Amino acid sequence: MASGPVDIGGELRKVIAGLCEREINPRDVSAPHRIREDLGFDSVTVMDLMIELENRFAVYFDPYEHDLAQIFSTVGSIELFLKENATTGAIPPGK
Amino acid sequence: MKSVAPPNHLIRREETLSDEFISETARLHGTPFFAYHSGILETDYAALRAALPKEADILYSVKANPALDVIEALGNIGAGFEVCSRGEIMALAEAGCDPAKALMCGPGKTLEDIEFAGRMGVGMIAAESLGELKRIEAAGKRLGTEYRVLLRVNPGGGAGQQRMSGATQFGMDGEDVAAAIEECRSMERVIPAGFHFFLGTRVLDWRTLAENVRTVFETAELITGETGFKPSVVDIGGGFGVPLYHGEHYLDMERAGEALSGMIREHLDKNPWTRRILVESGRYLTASSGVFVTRVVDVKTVRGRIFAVTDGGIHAIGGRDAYFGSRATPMRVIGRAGEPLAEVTVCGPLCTPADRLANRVSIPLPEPGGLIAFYNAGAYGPTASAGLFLSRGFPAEVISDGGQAKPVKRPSWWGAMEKLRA
Repeated sequence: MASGPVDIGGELRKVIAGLCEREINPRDVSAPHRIREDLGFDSVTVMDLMIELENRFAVYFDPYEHDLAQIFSTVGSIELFLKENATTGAIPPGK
Repeated sequence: MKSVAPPNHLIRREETLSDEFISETARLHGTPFFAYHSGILETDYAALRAALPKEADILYSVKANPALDVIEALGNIGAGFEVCSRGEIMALAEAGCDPAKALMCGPGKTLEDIEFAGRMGVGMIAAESLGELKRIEAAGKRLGTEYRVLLRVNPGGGAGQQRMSGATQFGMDGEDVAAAIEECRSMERVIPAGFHFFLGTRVLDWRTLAENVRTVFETAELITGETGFKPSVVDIGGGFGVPLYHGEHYLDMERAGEALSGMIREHLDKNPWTRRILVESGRYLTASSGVFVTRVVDVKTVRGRIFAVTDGGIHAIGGRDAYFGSRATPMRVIGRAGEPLAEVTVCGPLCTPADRLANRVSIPLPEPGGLIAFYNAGAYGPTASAGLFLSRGFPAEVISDGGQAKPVKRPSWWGAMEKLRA
């Protein structure tokens, strides 16, 4: 977990651009972009994204507590989730 | 994404099956295969047994691994059983174990399931709803027999990697429990023996287990206080986990034992009508004993990314956990220690990109014909995986005490694979 203030939006865009199949500049990744339809993520690469975000931001995506389909619909919806959860350093249940 | 070293500190080296054993077993029995170490089964059972007071009985959850040798081994060292299907009851009987030592659970028991349990002499049955309670009564009347019933209570608290209580399909909430107790008073074939709880699975923190058990005992006392019903049996559930990923660790069984034993003894003191505490475990008792081995068919580089394609994919081992394949788990490339590391994605043979066993892991570069072993694979292996997917079939399973492996005895329904009839 990063110790100073984290530019969540900037970091998120870097991760997404890094995992995106096609070449894309992080600056060109914007909030309304839909993860699947616009950025080409599929179920396997969404899983990769989820794990990368869990590791980077110390959050935990719980399929029973969170509506993962909604969270991973657009860049903006992911950013919102991270902003709401990353600062609390959410600890996975059972850990 | 950066490549990740597998969390091999989680491999229990001191007892693990040797590389020679793995290679020899692959030669004799083919790949992919699961190998179970009976010594580890016994060690893990002993650890749980030592952590609990004598007033607590351990029930082995057959769903984790229904191989008859595994069931028999655990039964021989003192385990009772938790079963949740006709197939598991059959497995129990075929393993030479006594169904009287079993508790039948599961939220969707049909009249046929319940009658089968009765005919087979299953010792106790959990009632998950008022409807189910009535089906148990009906079954009892048809068979002319009685059922000892635990009322499954969903107290709404609890935690684990999968939450089993709260707004889930399991058990009854407070109001329905009270109604069920009332219903039992006028029933002829149902003997209400106590309560069944199950709050969380795959718990790795002893504090979470303790919290779950605290909730269980508080709820049991609350129900007794409100209804006057005094349970002679309380099943506190299980959820003892085994680590698979970075950041996870083995459950501190000593601390868990101290906490649970203290609470159990205190509860028995305050509630002397309760004579038996039941504790369930499937994964903890079997996961560490198993290794999954697959042979590399092909190694290639596609657009700069190295893939090792094996003969055993997620159809063989995909059932344990949703993250398997995406997160690195303990694994070794057999016979390649000391070789330079490479970033490799290990895949099975299925025609789907979802078939991956390890994504971008830093391991010695595998060779075609070589073997790769995945650890902590003894629970929720073949029977939890889509073995028939792509018409491929299931991996072999062998058991060993460290010496030569022999194929496990599988329950008879492996051959039949058809829906059971009453």
